[in-house]
Amino acid sequence: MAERPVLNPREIVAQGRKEARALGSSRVEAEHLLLALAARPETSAGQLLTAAGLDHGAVREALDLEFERSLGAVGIWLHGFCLPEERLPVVGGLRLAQSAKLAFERAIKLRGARHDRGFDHLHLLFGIVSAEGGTVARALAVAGVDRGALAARAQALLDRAA
Amino acid sequence: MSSVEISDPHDPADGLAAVIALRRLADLLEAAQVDRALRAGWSWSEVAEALGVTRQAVHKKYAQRAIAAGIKTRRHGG
Repeated sequence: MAERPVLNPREIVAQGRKEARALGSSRVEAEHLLLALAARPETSAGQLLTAAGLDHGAVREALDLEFERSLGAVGIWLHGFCLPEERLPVVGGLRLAQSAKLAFERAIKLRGARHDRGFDHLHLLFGIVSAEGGTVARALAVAGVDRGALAARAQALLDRAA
Repeated sequence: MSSVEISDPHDPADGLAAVIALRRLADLLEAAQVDRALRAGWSWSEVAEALGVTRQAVHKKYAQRAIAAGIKTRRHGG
């Protein structure tokens, strides 16, 4: 049985901010929260992601690929063009973007519906992957990962823990 | 290959995702190019003019970030 630390939302948002900064984003999006969860392979959500082939590096790759493909849809190909590594760093307390807020909302809703006591990484993972559209859904599709199966697996693990 | 051609994707999901990706690309490019310009000694006014925004706007957006990057900026243009 996986170790089940109770999710500290502050901690996961702090990690999400780090992920956002690393990618040059001035807001925390749902994909940064997903990276934050993947960065904690010792948690139940981290293990679930790893088992699905989505460790931190794989999530980053999927996001890169989604970015390239989305630009490709309007005829922009980044082949051979690298964005300059040197850029002004993002500073300050990054705010949660709508996609991240919605992920938390869905997570809290799931927890309420299930009458779970604690707020777990798995609730948040469910909240992130159950978005029908948006960057995370597209990146998971690019990576060949079934979002619905991930969400169901998260719920099954919560059942086992209850 | 680095050709840029504008096509009109029929799937709105792809088209809207392209908008998000373009915004991200523009943000990253801007942060990189403003960094370059300031390091090359450009003033805030010069950067603002090149971007087509006010000096106040560009200063508000990037002053703290330039300080964090350790860049010394010029107060006045010219």
